[in-house]
Amino acid sequence: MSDFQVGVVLVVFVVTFAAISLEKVNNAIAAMVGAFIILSFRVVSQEEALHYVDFDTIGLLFGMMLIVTVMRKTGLFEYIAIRGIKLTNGNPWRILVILSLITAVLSAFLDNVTTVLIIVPLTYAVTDSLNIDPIPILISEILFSNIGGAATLIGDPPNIMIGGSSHLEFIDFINNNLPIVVVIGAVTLLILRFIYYKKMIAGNLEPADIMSFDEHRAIQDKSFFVETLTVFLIVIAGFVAHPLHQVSLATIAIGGGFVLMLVTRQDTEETLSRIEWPPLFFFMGLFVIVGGLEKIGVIKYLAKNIIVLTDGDIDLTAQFILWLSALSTTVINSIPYTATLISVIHDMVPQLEGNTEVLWWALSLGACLGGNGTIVGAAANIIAAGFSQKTAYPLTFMKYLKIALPLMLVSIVLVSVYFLIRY
Amino acid sequence: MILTVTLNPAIDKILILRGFEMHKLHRLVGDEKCNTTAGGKGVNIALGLKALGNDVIATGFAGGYTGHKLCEELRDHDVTTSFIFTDGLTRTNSAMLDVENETLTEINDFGSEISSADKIHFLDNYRRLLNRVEMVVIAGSLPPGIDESYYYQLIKEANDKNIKVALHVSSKYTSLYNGANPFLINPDMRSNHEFLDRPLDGIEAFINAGRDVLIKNRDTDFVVFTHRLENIVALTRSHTYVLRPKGLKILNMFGYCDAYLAGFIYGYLKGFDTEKVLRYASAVGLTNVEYVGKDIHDLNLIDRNIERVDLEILQ
Amino acid sequence: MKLVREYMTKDIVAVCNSSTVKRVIEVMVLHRLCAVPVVNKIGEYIGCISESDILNEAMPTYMKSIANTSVLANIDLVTNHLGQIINNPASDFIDKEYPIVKPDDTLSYAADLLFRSKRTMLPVVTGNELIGFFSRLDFLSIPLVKDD
Repeated sequence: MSDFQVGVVLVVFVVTFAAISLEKVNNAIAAMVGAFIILSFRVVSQEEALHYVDFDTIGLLFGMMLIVTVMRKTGLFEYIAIRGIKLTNGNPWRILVILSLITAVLSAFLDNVTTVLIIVPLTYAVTDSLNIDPIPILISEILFSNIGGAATLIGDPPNIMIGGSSHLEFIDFINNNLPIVVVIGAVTLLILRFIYYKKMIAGNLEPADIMSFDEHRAIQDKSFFVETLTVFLIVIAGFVAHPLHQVSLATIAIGGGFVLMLVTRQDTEETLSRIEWPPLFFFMGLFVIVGGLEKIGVIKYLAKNIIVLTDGDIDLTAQFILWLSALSTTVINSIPYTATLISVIHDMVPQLEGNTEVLWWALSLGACLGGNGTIVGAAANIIAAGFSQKTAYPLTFMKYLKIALPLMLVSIVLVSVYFLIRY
Repeated sequence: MILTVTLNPAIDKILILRGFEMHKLHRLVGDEKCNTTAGGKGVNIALGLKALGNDVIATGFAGGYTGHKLCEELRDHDVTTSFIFTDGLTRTNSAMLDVENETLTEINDFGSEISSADKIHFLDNYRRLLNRVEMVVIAGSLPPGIDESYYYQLIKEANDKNIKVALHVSSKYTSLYNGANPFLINPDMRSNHEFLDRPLDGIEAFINAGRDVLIKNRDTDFVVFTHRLENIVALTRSHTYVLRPKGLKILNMFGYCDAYLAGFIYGYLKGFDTEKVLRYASAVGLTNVEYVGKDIHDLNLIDRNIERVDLEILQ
Repeated sequence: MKLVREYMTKDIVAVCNSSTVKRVIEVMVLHRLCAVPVVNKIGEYIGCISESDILNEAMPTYMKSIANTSVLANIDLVTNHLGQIINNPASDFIDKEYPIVKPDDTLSYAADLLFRSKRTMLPVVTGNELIGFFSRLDFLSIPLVKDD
């Protein structure tokens, strides 16, 4: 390994990271070009590159995209949302609660961006019908999309990456993350109630409008709906039962996706063209770049120094990773961050004594919840804010930051305490 | 390109029948006819000009199915339309020609009321059209909701852009003959035989009135009285002319004045000298009255008919 | 070669860019047009406003992102939105990229353009001067013309 090659990797890493964080270049293009440069200078060989790319993660992402693409057509999500909205009787605060909870639950099973793309337009439809300010609800939904996403292995890209590379089970995520996610959700709602409740229930409301939302229009083809839901539930059951059958999650997801296409007679071209390919390439490129970092010893260096800093104490290391992750992903993209940290943790694990599983939860919760800090902290935040810009109620950076950053810090404190009690 | 303004156009419905009797049902039979054509003075002039070979844009107000019918017919004759459409219908004017009793009965509708908003829309459109034409012809009656000051404004806007205006409107719009300064004045005296508040008939009276108009309108070049077809009186700043067609066999008086004016403008824009312009205009009018329809149909016949027009220059 | 000028509709219908959306819709209704050319104060052609441009604005943004009609089908929200934009200036809605044809373009070109752009009519423009329009029906009715 020459100094030149070390330089190449560092430059590629910094430039790619900057380009992604500043949104100057599309993620996928930046990552793939970076990977290409690293391969061109033979920092990693072709075989090593393929080894670095975690196809479990990419396969799982792809499979879930496929399933969700078909599921979106059933109208299930709209159906759920409208049923939920009708339960509120048009009370704005209850709408906030219901929509946030629906967002959290959907986020736990779908990727956050998809969830936000479904829920945010509906939110604007509701607030427009009631003539109320959508911003509190929008902020709450963004928060809950990231909170909910932390609960399961498939809820958020960092979790999928961790699940793909750590051999933690689907059920482990639920066991370890779900309890604290529920607590954080409850505390967040409580705080939001203090901030918004009075403001939201003031004024005259005409709930009649939203009561005429028609959930029956959402599900147009009942048998298609039933078939899709069945396949989806089987896939989730397959994830949960992974310890029993040892078939990889990626295989289950991809298999489930194509079986779903078969059963529901989907148009192959059309369905596959709806897949969001850019994130998949983004991940691939990123894995190679992080592989380069590993190759030149940066990962080892980071791992060693973290251990030195925490004196090899697992609890302390977990707290460190949690806070580092939360604060980092507030400003930088959580995906390259997680990819890097996964390698770091892999490197640290053999050097530590005791049960190191908590380090993964620290990374998972830190990276997922950290995204809540700012409007650019996670893809879902950016999508939701971007959507709001086209409406009469744009969500600004500061408007979001004022509410979300303190709440994010509260959630990380809660996780800290949770770790101290539980592990 | 010539712009014709018809603020109150019409669909002309002409019934040609035999032995019409009041208070009885008259069913059309045999060679009796019912023709429906686009009408209104400006529209007739537009069609005449197009037939003679000029490019024409017709503007004005139109509305409803009759308005669409009007525009379609104009476009069928290759006249470009640019009408302001209103909520009200374009009126239908009815005429009944009884060939047995040799009577002609005409009923002209008011036309629909024009709103003040549409008056503004028309003016905006008119101003834009002025940028692409060399002459404006303003002809015909005013619809309800519009008074003669509107015509005055149209003339002024065109004059301000150095575009010549030929004015062929009722002689009752006195203010227009008192300083509106159109390039050509041809009063329409079918329903109002007074001009500038005095009864008017006979060559002497026409000449006196014409001189009066030329004094009151310093920029007017031509005053033409076509009321008496056998004695057309035309005045310029230097000469006075009387034109008399020889051996007239009148078949149809519909649109005679309109054909005359179309012939005049065509000849003038062609660069004919004044005498030839006047002869040509009379020949077009003459050809028109000796033909059953109101349209200009035979350009060669017009050329031959020029010889039949007697022109006398008075001192 | 058949040219647009021979088969176009020589009707100069336009709204001024200072008009309101209301006026644009009014002109569409009165003239029975699906799109209205827009000109500036001195009559130069600038673009077109089509029914779909206005419909697009009348639909709340969020509505376009909802996968089906379940949410708003039973509410008058879209009508209300249309009511809100009706007095906006027409200049906000002008499609400056709206395809146009010249009078000397061939009919095949114009028909192809109508087909590709999925428009119902194309303004016919020479230089900056609007001289009429060429509609789908102008094209489709060509075989109907009887030879006299």
